[in-house]
Amino acid sequence: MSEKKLVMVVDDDPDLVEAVSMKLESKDFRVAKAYDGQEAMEKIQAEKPALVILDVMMPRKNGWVVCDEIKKDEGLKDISVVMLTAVGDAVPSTSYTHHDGKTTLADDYVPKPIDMGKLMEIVDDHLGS
Amino acid sequence: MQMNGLRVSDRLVRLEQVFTDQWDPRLVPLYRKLAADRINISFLYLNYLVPAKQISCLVEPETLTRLTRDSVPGGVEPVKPDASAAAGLVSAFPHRFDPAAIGTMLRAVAQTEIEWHCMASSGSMLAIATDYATQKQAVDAVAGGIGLPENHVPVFPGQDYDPIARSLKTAPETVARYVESKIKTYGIQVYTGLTLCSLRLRADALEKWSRAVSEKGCRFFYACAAPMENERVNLEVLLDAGEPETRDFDIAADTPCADTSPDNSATVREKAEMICFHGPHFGDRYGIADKALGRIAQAGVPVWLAGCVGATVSIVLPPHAAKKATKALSAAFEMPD
Repeated sequence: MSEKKLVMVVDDDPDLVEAVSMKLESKDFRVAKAYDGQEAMEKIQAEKPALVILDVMMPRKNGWVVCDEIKKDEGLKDISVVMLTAVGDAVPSTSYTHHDGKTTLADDYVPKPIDMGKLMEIVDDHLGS
Repeated sequence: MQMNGLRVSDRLVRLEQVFTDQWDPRLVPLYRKLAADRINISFLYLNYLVPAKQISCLVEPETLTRLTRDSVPGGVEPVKPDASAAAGLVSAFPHRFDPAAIGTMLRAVAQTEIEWHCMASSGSMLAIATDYATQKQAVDAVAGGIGLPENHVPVFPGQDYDPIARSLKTAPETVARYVESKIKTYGIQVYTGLTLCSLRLRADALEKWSRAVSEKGCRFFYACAAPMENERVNLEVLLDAGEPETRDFDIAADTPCADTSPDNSATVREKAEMICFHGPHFGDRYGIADKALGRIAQAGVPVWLAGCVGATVSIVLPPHAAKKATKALSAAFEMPD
């Protein structure tokens, strides 16, 4: 029997983290949680999840920076990163989205408000389950 | 009791409405008045189970300039709020639905030097409204009481973002406008067959009780509390304690009621129900609580308790009310499968 894959959910809204985590657990994934970019980076280094669901606008370190750090780290670059992009969706023409959105290397994007079904499809696609 | 983090919102103003006299149908609830004046509620505590029905809201002080007179036609509006009631919010997460977390939090803040006003929960947070002057003590007391990761730093939402994100949150370069025919939600959860416990006890007794029900395997789905006279606390907590006929323990057995004070009490209401929903940016938008509670009132469904914490709205209802209330909400809120 294969080991359950670990997915990390990172958002500064604890209730959203809880809602996404419950959905992932119901689909038989193990879940790790973080509530800001810095905490996420520490936990990603320690726990090496298979996939990270990553919010953009978070305290201490934003999601673009976290994504960049993951993809530039030899030991972490194979982790799939799915960005939750409320900024890109609602504010399409800012230096923030233009600069950071074009230079980060996320594997996928889900606009906020999240369609939970769509998010689960993307997780399944990347983890091959 | 180990939790992951604290969020601290300061520079808020507390507004309160208490109905001490007979109910006047023309009275405008505070949440409706704020919606009419386009003022976002950062935190809501509503308790209609106590003799003096209470609605408490925390709002951002800048938005109070929008308060107008007579914005709800034909209604008797709440008196103009006291804008000097500086307040803050201390939220701990995740509570993991463990009743022991409630007792620990209340024990931590129910000290004489901390001025706290009310507490409410969401799906992951326990949030306590305090006076701004004693918020620092409340943060320290909660952090000391619950136990946090070694490197944890309390998060101040809106202040701990990088400079670009912070400026986008306060002054976006582009303002996006879109119209929702229905307000989007991430789904509405309905809970039935729950046990609502109303306890009026000292915080140390509440902590002991909360640990006892936790050890019995009970989870909680909503909790709210407010301080009372003589250092007691009024706690309302919604538990999944199973059917009363098959329960192998007395849910109020560990409450030291009449033996310590005739003012103490424990009331248990069976088969309570709850509706809970969470939506995008609910914490930053005005009118959500009014839309939800207004629709339910229009449908003739009584509300016992309600709370808005973060982006989550929780509404506690009497037995057999959730179905009708959910139908009423579906007219205004989008409910994905």
